[in-house]
Amino acid sequence: MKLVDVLKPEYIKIPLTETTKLEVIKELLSVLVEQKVVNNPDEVLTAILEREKIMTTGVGNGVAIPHCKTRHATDFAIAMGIHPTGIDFQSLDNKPTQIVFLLIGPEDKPGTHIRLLSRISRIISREKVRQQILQCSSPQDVYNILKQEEANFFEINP
Amino acid sequence: MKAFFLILNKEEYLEEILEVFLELNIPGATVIDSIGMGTILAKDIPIFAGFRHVFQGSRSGNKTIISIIPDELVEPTILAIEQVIGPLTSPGNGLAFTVAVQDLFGLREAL
Repeated sequence: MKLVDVLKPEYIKIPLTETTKLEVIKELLSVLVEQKVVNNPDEVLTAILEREKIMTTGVGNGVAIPHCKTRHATDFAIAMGIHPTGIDFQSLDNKPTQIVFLLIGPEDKPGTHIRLLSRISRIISREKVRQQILQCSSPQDVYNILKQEEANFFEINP
Repeated sequence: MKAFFLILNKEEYLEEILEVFLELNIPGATVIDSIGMGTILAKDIPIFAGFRHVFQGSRSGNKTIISIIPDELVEPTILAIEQVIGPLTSPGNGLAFTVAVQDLFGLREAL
């Protein structure tokens, strides 16, 4: 399994139009609902917000990776969006967040969940990748960059 | 000769483990403050904060003990360590392994 096996171009939203952390999370969640990947958005949103209470997923450098484990997910789903100006995600570096990945996974697969989180984090921690992604105007372009970057990474054991 | 490594999770047993070494006539060991990967992931990398339960048992730190011992002492050392801390097969107790030593310089003689 690779990140780009879960994150499809149609799950990428450019631009994100909402202006608050909560609304952006809802915006990305609605993408997965529209794509029929998530069926219980209210329960999933609750789980995401519960996770945010532990510590912000705004990891800094303009990136946030909200995520949750939930019994309402049967498989992994990832949506991603780019905000044109950035929003306040209570990031660790207090800088605006422009790149947001939303990861939802089933409760019984924490290992795969951690590996996917780690994969996202490793790819997006590269300044060059972030800059390339921020220049993209289409989901397919973002997908192609992620796919190209991940090409050198090993397969994640699901 | 073997290089004997013990990752001791229960630091409270360090003194007793070193006493075991003395009793086995192991004249010296190096003790290093160390930290397990799970502890760092759970506490220092925010994105994994939601998985602290997965890394349960991860302590704030552990001790890595390194010693050069004769081959015939490997099994008695393991047995003696397990008498102190419990089976190494139990989660959270620790990890031990050996590596064959090809050359060795500077080892003091047994007491």
